[in-house]
Amino acid sequence: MYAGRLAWRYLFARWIHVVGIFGIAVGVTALVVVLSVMNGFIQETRRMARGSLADVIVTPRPRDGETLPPYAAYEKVIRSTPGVGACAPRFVHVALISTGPTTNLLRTSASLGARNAVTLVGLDPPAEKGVTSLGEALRNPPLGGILEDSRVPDPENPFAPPLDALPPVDREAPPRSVVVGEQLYRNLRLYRGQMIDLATATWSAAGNKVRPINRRFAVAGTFRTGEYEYDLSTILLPRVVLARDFLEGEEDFSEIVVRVEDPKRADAAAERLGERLAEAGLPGTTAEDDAHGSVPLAEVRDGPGGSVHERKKGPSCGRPVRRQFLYVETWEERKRILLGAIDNERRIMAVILFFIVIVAAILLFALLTTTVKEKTRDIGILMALGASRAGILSIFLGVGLVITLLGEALGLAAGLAITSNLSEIERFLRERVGLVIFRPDIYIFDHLPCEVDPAGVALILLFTSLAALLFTSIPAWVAGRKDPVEALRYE
Amino acid sequence: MTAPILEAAALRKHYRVGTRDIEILRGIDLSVAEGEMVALLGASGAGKSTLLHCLGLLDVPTSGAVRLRGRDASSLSAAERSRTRNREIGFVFQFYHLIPELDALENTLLPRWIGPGGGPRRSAREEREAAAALLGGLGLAERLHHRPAQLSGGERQRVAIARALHPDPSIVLCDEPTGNLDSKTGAEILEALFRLNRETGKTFVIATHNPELARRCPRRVRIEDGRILDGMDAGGAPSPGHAA
Repeated sequence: MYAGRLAWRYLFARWIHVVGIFGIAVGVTALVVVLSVMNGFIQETRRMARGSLADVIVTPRPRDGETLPPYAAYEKVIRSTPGVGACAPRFVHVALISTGPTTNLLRTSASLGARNAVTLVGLDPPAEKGVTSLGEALRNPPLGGILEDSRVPDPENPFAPPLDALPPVDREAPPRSVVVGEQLYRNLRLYRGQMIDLATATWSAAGNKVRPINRRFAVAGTFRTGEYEYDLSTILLPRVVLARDFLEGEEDFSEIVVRVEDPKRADAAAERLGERLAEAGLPGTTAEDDAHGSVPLAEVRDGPGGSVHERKKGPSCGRPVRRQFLYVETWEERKRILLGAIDNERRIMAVILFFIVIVAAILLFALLTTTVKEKTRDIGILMALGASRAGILSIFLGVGLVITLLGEALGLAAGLAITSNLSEIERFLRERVGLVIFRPDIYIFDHLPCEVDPAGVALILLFTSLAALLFTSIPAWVAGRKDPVEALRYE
Repeated sequence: MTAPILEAAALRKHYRVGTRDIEILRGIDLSVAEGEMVALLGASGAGKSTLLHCLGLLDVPTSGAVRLRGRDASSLSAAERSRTRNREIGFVFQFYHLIPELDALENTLLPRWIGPGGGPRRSAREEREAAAALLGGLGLAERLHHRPAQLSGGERQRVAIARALHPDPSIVLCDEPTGNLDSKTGAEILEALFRLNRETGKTFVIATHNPELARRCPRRVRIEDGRILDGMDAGGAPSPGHAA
C-alpha cells in the first residue's frame, strides 16, 4: 500500500517523469496511428485488389479439341449449388490497342505506361452487377483535379455510344463502344468519343493458322476498380460483342464469376462448386485422367486440368497445393501473393515501429535509474523503518508502472483522436501548412484510409507494458538491493 | 535486574575499504534493560553509529551476536529482520531523514504504512488521530500538513521522534539526535526524549556528543576505538521513570 502511495508521490516529485509519460505516449500514439492507417490501407487495398473479382471465379479448362458448351449449361449447375448467390459470365481475351496510325503495333514505347497490350473483358452488365463491384467501378468519382470527368454517362447502360462526346458520332450507325480502365485512359491520353483500334487474333483449329482480327471501337467512358494493374490494362465491352461480333467464335464465355452467400466461407463454397461441376461432367471441370501414372501429383496440378479434387488428394504435408492452377478459386486465392505481401508489410512496420516503444522504455530506464539514485537515502530510511527489499522494489516498479499506464492512456487517447480526425488533419496539413501527406493520384483511393483494429491496439498496449516493465524492473531491482546503511549515509 | 531487552555479545564489525580492512567494532558487550535510557559516548568514528546500526538490525555484524529479547538476530531472515525493525525498533537520526515528499503527519504514519508496527491494531482514522496527538504532544499540532522543507531543524527532529515512536516500538535508537541543532533546540529535543522515556517506558539508546544529554542519562557507555571503555559503563538498570 505504502509502495503505491510513495510511487505516486515520487512520480510527481520529479517533473522529469512527465517526459517519460510523454515518451510512452508518443510511442503508443505512433503505433496506434501508423498501424491503423496501415490497416486502413490493407482493408482498402484488399477492396482494391479485389477490384472486379468475384467471391469465386470458375474457369473451365477444356482439353485439346474440346469446345466449351454454352454458359447456360454451367449456370444451371452453379445456381443450384447451395451457398451460391449469383453468377455471371465473362469472356476474357487479349488484344492490342492503337489510338492512331502506327507502323508497328507490337512495338512498345519505353515511356511510362504506354503499352498497347490490353485485356478485353466481355461481360453482361445486368448479371455482372449482381456479382461483382462493377456497378461501383462505373460510378467511381473522378480523380479530383487530375482527370476530367471521364466516367460513362450512364452506369446502368455503360456501353451506350458516347453521343455527347467529340467528335460527333453517327446517330444512325453508332460505333460499338468500350469502357476503358481509368489508368489506361489517362496513359494513352484518350478522350470520350475517341475511336480506338483493337487488334487480336484467334487460332483456327482446322487450318492450324492464326487469324488476325481488328476492329474500331468508340471510347464510351472509364471505370475504376482501384486495382492499378487492372485499370491500366483492361477494356470492358459487352460479352456478345466480344465473343460474336469481334472474335466470331463459338464459345460464349471463358470464365464465370460467382457471388457466394457468405463471403467469409467462400473457400467451402468453392470446394462445393468444384464438386458439383465435376459431378455434372461438364467439360473442363474434371482432372486429367491419371492414366499417365508416373506423372507426379504436383505436375498434374500444374497442368490445365488440375481440379478442385486435387486439394484433397494433395499430400497432407510438404509441398503446398498450387491453387492458382485450380479452375475454381476464390478471389483471395487468385490474389494471395499480393494480399500476403501487404499483410507482411504491416507486420514489418509493426516490428520497426515497436522500436519507438523500446526507445521510450529506455528513456523510462534512464529516468528511473536517476530517480533511484536520487532517492537512495529515502531507500535507506524506508529500510530502517522496516520496508522489505520487495517493498522498495515495488515502489520504483510502481513509479514505472504509473508512468507506463499514464503514457499508454495518453497515447491511446491521442492515437484515437488522430485516427478519428485523420481526414481533417490531412486536409489541414495540405491546405494550411502545404504538407501533402496523401496523394490521391498515387493511391487509388481519394482519402487517407484508416481503420482501428481493437485487437491490434490491445497488442500494442500489451507489448508496451511488457517492454516498460522489463526496463523498469532493472532500476527497481537495483533499488531493492541497496544496503540500508550505505543508503542512509548517501548524500 | 530485569532480563535485558537488547544485548550485544562480542560484537565485531569490519569494513573493507579498497584493500584495507577497517575494524570499527572490536568486541562490544552491552546489555540494555527494558525502559533504560543509555547514552553512548565517544569521539566521531569511535563506532557509535555502527553499533546502533547493528543493534537496530540495519547492519550485520562481522562476528558476535545481537540479541533482541534473548533472540539471536542472526537467525532471522532478511524479511524477518525488516519486520522486527518495523515492530520493535524506532530510529532517530542526526539528519532527521524524513521523506521530503510526505508531510509531517504522513512521515509519522509511514512506519505503520510499511508494516503493522507494534501495539494494538487501529483503523486508519485512529492511526491518524494517534499520530496527530503524538505530534501535538511534541508541539507540532499546527504543523501536521507541512512538508519537511517547510519545517525548522528542531521541528523536523520532533517529527522524526514522532515517527520513531508512533508504531509503538520497544526500543528507540537515536543517533546524535541533537547533533545538528542549536543548543536551545537541542535542549528542547532532550526534554522531549526524557519525557517520552518517562511516560512510555520505552528503552532509549542514544549516541551523542551532547554533554548535557550525557550528564542527564542514568547510564553512560563510552566507546573508544571500537571498544567499550572499562569503567565508563555506569552500569545498573534503573527502573523506568527514574531517569530524570
